[in-house]
Amino acid sequence: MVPTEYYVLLSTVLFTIGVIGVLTRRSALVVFMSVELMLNSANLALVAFSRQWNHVDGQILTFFVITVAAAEVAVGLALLVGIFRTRRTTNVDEVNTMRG
Amino acid sequence: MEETLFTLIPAIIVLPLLGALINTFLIRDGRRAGMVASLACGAAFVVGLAAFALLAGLPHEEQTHIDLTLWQWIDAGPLDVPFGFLFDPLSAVMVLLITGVGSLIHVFSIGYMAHDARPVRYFVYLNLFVAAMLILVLANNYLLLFLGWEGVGLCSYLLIGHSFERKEARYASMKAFVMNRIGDFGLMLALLALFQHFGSLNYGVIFPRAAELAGQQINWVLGPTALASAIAFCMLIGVSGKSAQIPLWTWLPDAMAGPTPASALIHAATMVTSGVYLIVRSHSIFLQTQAISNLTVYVGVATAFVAASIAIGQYDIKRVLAFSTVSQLGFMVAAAGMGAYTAAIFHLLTHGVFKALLFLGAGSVIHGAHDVQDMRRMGGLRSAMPTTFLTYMAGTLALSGIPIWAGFFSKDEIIGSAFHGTRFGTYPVSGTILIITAALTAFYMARQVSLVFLGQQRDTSYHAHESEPIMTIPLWILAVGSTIAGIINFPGLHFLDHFLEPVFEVGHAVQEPLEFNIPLAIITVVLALAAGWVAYQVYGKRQWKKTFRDPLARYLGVFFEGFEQRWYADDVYDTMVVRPFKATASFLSRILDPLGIDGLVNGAAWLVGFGGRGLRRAQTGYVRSYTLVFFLGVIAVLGYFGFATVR
Repeated sequence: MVPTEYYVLLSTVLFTIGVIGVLTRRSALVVFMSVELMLNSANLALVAFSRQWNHVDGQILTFFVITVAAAEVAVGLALLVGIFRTRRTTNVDEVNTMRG
Repeated sequence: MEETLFTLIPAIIVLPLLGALINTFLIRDGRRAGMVASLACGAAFVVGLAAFALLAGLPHEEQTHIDLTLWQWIDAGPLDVPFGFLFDPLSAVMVLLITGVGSLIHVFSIGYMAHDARPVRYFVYLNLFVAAMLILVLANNYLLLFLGWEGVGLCSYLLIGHSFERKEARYASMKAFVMNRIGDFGLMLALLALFQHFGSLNYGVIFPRAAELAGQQINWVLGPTALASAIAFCMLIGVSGKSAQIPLWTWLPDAMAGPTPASALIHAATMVTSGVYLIVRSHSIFLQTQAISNLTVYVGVATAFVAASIAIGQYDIKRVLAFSTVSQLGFMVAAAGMGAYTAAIFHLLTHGVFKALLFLGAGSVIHGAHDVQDMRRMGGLRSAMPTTFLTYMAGTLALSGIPIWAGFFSKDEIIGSAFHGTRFGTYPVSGTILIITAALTAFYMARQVSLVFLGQQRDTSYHAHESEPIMTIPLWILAVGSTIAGIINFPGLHFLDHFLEPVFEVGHAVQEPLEFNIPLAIITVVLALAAGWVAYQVYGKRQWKKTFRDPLARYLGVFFEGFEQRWYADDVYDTMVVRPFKATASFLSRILDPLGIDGLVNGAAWLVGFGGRGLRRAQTGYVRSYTLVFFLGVIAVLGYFGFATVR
């Protein structure tokens, strides 16, 4: 059996990649994908710990995370489409109406 | 019988109030409003007369016990104030004066106000005025009295400022109100002190225990003082405000800026008498303090003399009468201070009648002379206005103290009390000054009659006419009243003395009815006649040119200038109070408000704006930088918790 540490390590790596993606990429779509990556890294960790402790809670929580992620993607993509329609771009740096 | 009284007493107050309400909401026509108002006041008089008759029929000792509580007005912890009325002989005679003279003034006003711009409003105020005054005299506790006290203050303000298009009317109304408020403040202090000591403001609680006040010492402005003196002094401030005594007297002469019948109401039947009434009502308290009672006498005597001297130098027909009122109020206050309470009330009643007559007569003159008020432009009006002249003479003789007319008896009773002595002793100096003042009174009244009615008309640019019957009939009634009113306390009969006795028994203030002092009477009458004769010689005999210069100015020089300029009292107040006040107000509005207050407010706004301008740089608008901050925050929080758990 693969030890839990490996899963946690992989989860950490995935999460870090997600963070770096969110922080560095300018395309809103890629930022989204990075966010999904972070969510899924969390899912991976949850499932791994669930198996480790023979506890089903982690797996249940994963379903919640997946549901929330789906809803978030629906809203987020709708926003993205809206932004693209008005500004003809999905570059997050150019969407700076809120600049003080 | 008492049950009948209990239904009659509220009706006395409700009727004028009802008149005011009907006129406010239902009547638009001035003449009809006058009818309603007169009817309301007249009905109150009839009811008052009936109540008076019932009261007079009661046994002597029950006459002070007609105490009727309508409802609980204020019930807040220890403060327990009923909305209740006390109908004792003192209130009864006041009610008769207020409603009786008031009704005649209402009727007179119908004619006088026929061409006014706002007659309905005027009659509403008039009725309210009467109602407030009735509350004042009928109250069975000091707080309800204070309600009426404030009510007459308010109504006088409204009436004086009735023709608010004129600047001096607006100014006079404000002056009256402010002066009265100063006095009211004194009365309020007195009420607070009374409440603190007795835990109640009801006459029934305070007066029987008034003797306690003399023993109590309090630390006051000038060291320890008897509580009775402190309270009486505060009341005296209130009295000097309402009854126009030194130092708060300057509002009353200006109060004639209102319509003339309203002046008659303010000067004769209501308002100014309330101060005298307050002293007489609170006699139990004033009797505990010789010092303040003496002070009251001195204030009254000084006011009487100063105001009489000023009346000599005035040219406005109403202004002479206004200063005469101040002077006569001085007589009453002096009498009340001496402890000659019956004499004070006697003079209050007779003065109420003949001063109303004089003011209405002056109103009739002004009405007939097309709003001319300057006596220098009058003269010879006797032939144009015979009725007004005849009735005016009755008032003049009454005010001057010529025998058989009312003023003679009441004024002589006051002067007699000063010499004969009361429980506080005799007041020979004050009495002498009062005799001189009485002579001055005869002088300025004879001067006025000479200038207005005798000789030839000096300014012939207008055509004077006699007033209509609705105005002359009240004059006739009042003229008859001024002639025979002396009967109510005729020497030897002493009706008023006996009638008021139960009131003064409570405070053990009963005075032996004064015997008629014949030498004194001869002196006062001779002096009055002489003064009148001199005035007639100076003013009545000669033919004045149009450019009238008062002949006294030549003989008296600087003194006459003092009379004419009212001893510069208004100028002194103007320099000492009004101008500094205006300067302060101007400083506040021009400097402190824009720089100080606005500076503070705008400064706060600027500070917030400045902070915002600085902090807005943080809002870059780059989502990624927000995210970075967010992550760093998460790390910081996690690090903090991790660190905390490890430790």
